Amino acid sequence: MFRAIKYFLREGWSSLWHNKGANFLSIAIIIVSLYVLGVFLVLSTNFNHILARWSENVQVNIYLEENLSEPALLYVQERLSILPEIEEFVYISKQEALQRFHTLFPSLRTLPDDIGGNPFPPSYELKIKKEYQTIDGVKRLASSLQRLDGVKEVSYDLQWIERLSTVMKLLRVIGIFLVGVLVFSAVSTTSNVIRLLAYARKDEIDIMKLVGASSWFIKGPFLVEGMLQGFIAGIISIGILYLSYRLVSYYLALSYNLLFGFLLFTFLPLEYWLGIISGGTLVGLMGSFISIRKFLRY
Amino acid sequence: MFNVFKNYDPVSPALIDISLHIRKGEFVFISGPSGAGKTTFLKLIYREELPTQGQILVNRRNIAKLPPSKIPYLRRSMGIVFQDFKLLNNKTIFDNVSFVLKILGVPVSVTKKKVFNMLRMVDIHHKMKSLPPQLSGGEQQRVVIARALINDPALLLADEPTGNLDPELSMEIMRLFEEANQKGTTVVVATHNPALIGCISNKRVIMLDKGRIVRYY
Repeated sequence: MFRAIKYFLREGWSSLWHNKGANFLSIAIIIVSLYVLGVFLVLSTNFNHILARWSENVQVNIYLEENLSEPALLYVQERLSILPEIEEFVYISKQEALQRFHTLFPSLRTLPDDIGGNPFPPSYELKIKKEYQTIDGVKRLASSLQRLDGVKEVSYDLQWIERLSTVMKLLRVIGIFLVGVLVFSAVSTTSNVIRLLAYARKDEIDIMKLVGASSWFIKGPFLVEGMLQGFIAGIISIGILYLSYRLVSYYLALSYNLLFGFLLFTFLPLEYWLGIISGGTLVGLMGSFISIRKFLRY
Repeated sequence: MFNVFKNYDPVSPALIDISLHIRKGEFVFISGPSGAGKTTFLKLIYREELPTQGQILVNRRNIAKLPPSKIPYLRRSMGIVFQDFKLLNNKTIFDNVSFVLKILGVPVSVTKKKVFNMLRMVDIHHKMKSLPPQLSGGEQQRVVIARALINDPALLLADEPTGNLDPELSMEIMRLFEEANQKGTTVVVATHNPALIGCISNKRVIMLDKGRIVRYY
């Protein structure tokens, strides 16, 4: 077994080296598909980071009806204290709200009086527990708060997060489609290259069959060759991906662009590297497996 | 073989109604002019071709019904000397011969010794690092013979094994075959050369002509 694997590796590698030209073609196309996959993975990893960061700061405000009685206020407070999603809450009275307004907008000091008194309703500011800081979680909480007696309005700042997550979903769909097309073309290129190589070695394959080589013994080196193509392509594509990541982050940092400057903070984690390399190896294996089968019919 | 027919095309059949029995350990010549069906006869035995009709049993196994996955095992029990050599041109002489042992999973150290001895027996050991195209026809033929005998086969099939050899070397090769036969290998040699048949005693000759057995002696 071990001897056979050693033989496959040696033969596969030597054929890869001897047929550099043809193999370069399939390696290149696998690199392109893995690179595109990698770009999408980098973007989605970073978007996920941003989403997570933003969600951490989600604050939910509930505005209460004016002139709420003491028991009604206590009822709301009691409900808030038993809701599992809420980490802590702070009561902001009408007066405090007005104070804040005065502090934040000193130039508009006279506005409340101009419109006839304090327009700010009493409210609660809620801090949400980490595990509930998802769009769906916050939405669910908001709608259940909305149903409480004495609550006039619930507001939460999720618009940006919602938009970003829509963009992410779109990005994912485009990514899956594009990567699918590229993987298909990579498999078919590898398969055609291996078929050409196998065709050039048809006599050799026939002779091996005649002296009693099993089909696995003949197939082995070709499968290894395909896998090596994918493996090499995987490593190169990660290298190129990392270089372009560094380059893009460098220029983004230079431009101090507030909107995009913080978009790229991490490269892919190690398990993604391994995923890309094994994905490439699998693409090569599939390509060679598809093409070599028909040469081995007895 | 029982009532075996082989047609490549319906007009001129390659073998017609062949029935014969080759015993274990026998030395048999298949003779006849070129086009008589000698090569087809051998190809049926190593399952390169299937009979159009009839049954062929090799070592009690019906070859016509052998599943493809079992064909390599059938061939591993045979040594075959092909008329057109069928050597791997991009591999050295040593690798060509050792390939058979590699398939069988023989350890490298044993393989080295065995291949070297076999190449010495056919007097080609001094060229074991050469590639087949660098060798003359006669030299290549000796490599093919070495490859066929390296795994001590139960059955040796040789298609015109001395076609490219001078008479002296031909005799030498036939002696090798005879030696293998004495060790228990069944030998079937297809040849159109009557001189070759004369040099082996205690053998059977089956003469083919236009696909039929015309004489047995």
